[in-house]
Amino acid sequence: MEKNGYMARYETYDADRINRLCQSDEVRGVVLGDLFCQKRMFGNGTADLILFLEKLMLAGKEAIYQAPLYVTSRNLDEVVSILKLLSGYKGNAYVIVQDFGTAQAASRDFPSVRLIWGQMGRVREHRFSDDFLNFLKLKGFYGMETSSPELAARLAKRQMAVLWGNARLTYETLGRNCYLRYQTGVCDPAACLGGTYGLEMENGSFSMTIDGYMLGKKIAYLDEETYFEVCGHENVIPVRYL
Amino acid sequence: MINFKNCEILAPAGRVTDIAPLLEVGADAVYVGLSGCSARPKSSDFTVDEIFEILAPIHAEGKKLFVAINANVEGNKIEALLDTAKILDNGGVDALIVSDYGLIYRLSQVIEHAQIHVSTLTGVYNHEDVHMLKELGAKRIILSSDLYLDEIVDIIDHEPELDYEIVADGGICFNSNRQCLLPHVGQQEAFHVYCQESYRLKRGDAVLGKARRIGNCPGKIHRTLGIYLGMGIMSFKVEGRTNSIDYIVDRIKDMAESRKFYLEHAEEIPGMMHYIRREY
Repeated sequence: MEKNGYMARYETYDADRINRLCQSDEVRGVVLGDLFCQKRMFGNGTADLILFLEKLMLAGKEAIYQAPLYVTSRNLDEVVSILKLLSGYKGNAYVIVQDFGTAQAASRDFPSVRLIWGQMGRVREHRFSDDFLNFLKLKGFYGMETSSPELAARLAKRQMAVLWGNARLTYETLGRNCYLRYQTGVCDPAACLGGTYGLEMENGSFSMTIDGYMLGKKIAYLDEETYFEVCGHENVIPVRYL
Repeated sequence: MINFKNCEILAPAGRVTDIAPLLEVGADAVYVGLSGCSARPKSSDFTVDEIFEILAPIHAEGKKLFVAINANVEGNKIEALLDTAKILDNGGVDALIVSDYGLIYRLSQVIEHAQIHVSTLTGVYNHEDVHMLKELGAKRIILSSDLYLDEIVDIIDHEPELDYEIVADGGICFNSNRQCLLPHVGQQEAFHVYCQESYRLKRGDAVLGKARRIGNCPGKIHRTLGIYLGMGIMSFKVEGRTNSIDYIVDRIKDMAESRKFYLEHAEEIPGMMHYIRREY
């Protein structure tokens, strides 16, 4: 088992779930923040995100804010405001970033918030060179999110923390436009989450679910042996996709 | 004040024999992939010898050659790659196009002459990131096709000293160009991608009908080039090193014709910007 508890990671949150997590001794902290659409993760969007982060911090839990995949001039101020909120509490707060711009803003203005490089901060081939890891270290990153034992070992060698997930996100493609709204004309978070809609090639040879901003999204779980083996190492912060 | 005459048409080359026709029809610069290190099929990459073979004729015409090293390079190949980059740099290549931040950092410490251009695959979305890349020595940002006009303007307005390049013709898709994992088939000559197939929309097992296409038609922004010039973008890339030379030549011709039009009407460009940037 995880020595000092684990970070819980759900696809959706409401007040009841947050309260239960706050009361659980096994739960060390919680990962909050959808990569694309806060309406999908929270009933009241960003307002809930802020409220729940605050609840966790006040309950003495660790809070991990996952910043959006696309942080542009349209939402940079909002992301910075959330970082400011996290930095105002004395507990341990982390931000998972997918781009160096957000990282720069965080490390410059809110150095108490620990920087984690996210699993989506990558290009198509998703190989991370040693030079890239060294660059993360140079830029003040505390650690990196991964479910690869090989990458975890390379991070540990550099005394960087491993945000070690029991699963990883897989998908066929993603974009900045919601595929569900694009295909059906409606915004329906429940349909996103339920895998209600799908696309199938006309000859039937290939199909994908529509999940908001991702097509063919799946959470691929690690085998328990691998997960718990790495959990025991130093500098590992276990994350359970629940 | 923006000097529109610096407008550059950047052409892809997948073969040594492509160079002459591209220069002839109006390309100001050509980019090629370094063998084994580019984000395209190896068949369209250039060896170091081939790069030097085409460099002299390109420079003789007063034009530029950029080399793409925009694949994630395996750790054990980095040192050899840095040596190759130094050879290209000393040999007079004008710029290296790079996507890996670690490699950008390493190159910034060893490259003396060539510029570092940040690949569109890097995923640069905001001015904070651009500022950091500028501090690392990058001279040009190749804008992500995921961005909208207002976001591009924000970046350029924060860091106006850098050069900006846009993919003006080719794979401009609403699926993320750096994270799309949809299968690609038949990479020898051209990409055949699943996003261009026909799909049916389903709800559970029920077929609701024909789905809307899940990838864009190839983007072509040359007729609106003036707007992008007004925003401060000076380099317009035609994408597709794997395309036939006849196709690319036609695209460069279109781009050159459009540039000619806008340069002849440059005084109208500020007036075109009202809905995009008012502090012109």
